[in-house]
Amino acid sequence: MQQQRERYPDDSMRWIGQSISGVLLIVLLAIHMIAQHYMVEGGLRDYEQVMVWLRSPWVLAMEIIFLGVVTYHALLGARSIAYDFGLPLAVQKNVNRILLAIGVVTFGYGLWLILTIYQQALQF
Amino acid sequence: MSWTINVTIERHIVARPVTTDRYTVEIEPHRNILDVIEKIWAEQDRTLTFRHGCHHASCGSCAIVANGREVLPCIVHVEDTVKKDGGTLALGPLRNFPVIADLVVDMEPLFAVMEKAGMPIVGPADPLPGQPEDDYNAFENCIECGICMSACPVVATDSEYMGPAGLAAVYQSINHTADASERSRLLDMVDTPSGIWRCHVAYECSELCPSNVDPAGKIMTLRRMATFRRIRRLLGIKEKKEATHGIDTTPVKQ
Amino acid sequence: MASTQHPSNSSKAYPGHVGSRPRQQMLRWVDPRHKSAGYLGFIFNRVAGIGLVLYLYMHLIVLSTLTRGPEAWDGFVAFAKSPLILAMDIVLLAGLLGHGLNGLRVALVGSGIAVKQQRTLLNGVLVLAGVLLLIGGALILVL
Repeated sequence: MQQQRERYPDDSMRWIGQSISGVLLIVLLAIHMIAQHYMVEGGLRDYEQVMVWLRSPWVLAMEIIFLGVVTYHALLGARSIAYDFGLPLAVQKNVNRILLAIGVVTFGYGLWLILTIYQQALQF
Repeated sequence: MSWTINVTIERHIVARPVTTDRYTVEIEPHRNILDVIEKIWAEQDRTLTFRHGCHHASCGSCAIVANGREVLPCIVHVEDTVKKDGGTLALGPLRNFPVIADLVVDMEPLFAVMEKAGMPIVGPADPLPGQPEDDYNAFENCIECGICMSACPVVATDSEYMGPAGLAAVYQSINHTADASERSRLLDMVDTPSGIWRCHVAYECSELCPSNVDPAGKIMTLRRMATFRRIRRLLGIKEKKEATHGIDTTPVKQ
Repeated sequence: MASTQHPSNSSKAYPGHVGSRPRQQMLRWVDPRHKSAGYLGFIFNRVAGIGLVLYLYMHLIVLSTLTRGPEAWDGFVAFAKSPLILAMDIVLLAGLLGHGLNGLRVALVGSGIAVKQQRTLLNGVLVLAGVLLLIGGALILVL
């Protein structure tokens, strides 16, 4: 019994994680949509407007959190779909590794992108 | 007044490819789908294999798929499924079970999980809609017809998934024991990737269950129990010996 | 009484498993025919989820245009105002609203909260998503 508990400790945590990240995304996305699209004439910020917006360290922090949460939520969702196909245990482990790798690459690329644009904004 | 309906039946015969046979049947629209099947067997095709028992939704043995939806053909009227005179009634075996012959499936996957769950065959049922919760309703709940397993999108792809009936059975078992360690053992059994966490809240099982078992609702309650247990463990709160997880643990009245 | 033995006790010996049934089942979750509202919500959430993951990567790639200076980005902004892209934006908004609000319902119900109210919540999600889509969609076209 104890062994089974230790073997599967994470499924309730994943559920809680997916729910909390989902709620966070609703909040972050609402801010993103209003700030990036609905508050701007034309519905999309031009280069100058993007630079002005991104200059704030608060916005920078929010964008990084947004990137992390959306990557986590998306890849956990993909994992859930993959697991529905009754994969053998060995394949499940590989799915986890591949998704983790994709997650790291996605976050790394996104972080590079945000910081590069932030640098541009500071110099603008 | 009789209707003339076109019936198609998926024929599964050992060592032959699956075919669809067509029959024309005259029948009163208020009769049940099982009457149609029996009429075909009596008057047109003695090779047709189907299973039935009680004719009143108690035994669960006749469950099939009619016009795309899982039903107990003994209680579903022709007019509710075929809709009009001259309409079509397409019949096939339950999905997600091995087919033995024609409309008969092997229920072993369901019975195996029910046994694992320690499902009490006779116990108090949930009250029917609009009726008070009392012993009047307390006869039996799940009739083990397999409709929920056939309708579930996850059972269709993952044969390891315990499925709605089995998980509802575990809920019932937890509900029927006052022994905290047994409840904990049962919750451990379903707090797994192939247990409650595989469900995707599609609610098709509860929608089609002919006995109002509400398997999806039971799965969600099990998830609340597992989630809260996890949060308690995270916060380092010790579980009470007599923890009830917020559910009624009064022993069953005989 | 004479009885005929199956060639094997394995379920694979049954005719239903000889045909194409198991392979068809891999995609059976996506079949919306004869399904009730909750099931349709499940299909929507999953299809929208897959679409949103693809969009996320497309979005991240498109944003790299910003690193290539004002001309590149402002050129993209002009392209993004074409009617086709605006129409796709409305589809995207529908996916976001549906997935987000239905996801909220699934998170609540799936954690054992408001289980009995799941259908009422689904109706609420439909109404709220519809209203927000109307407002948001109109703004996309007006702005």
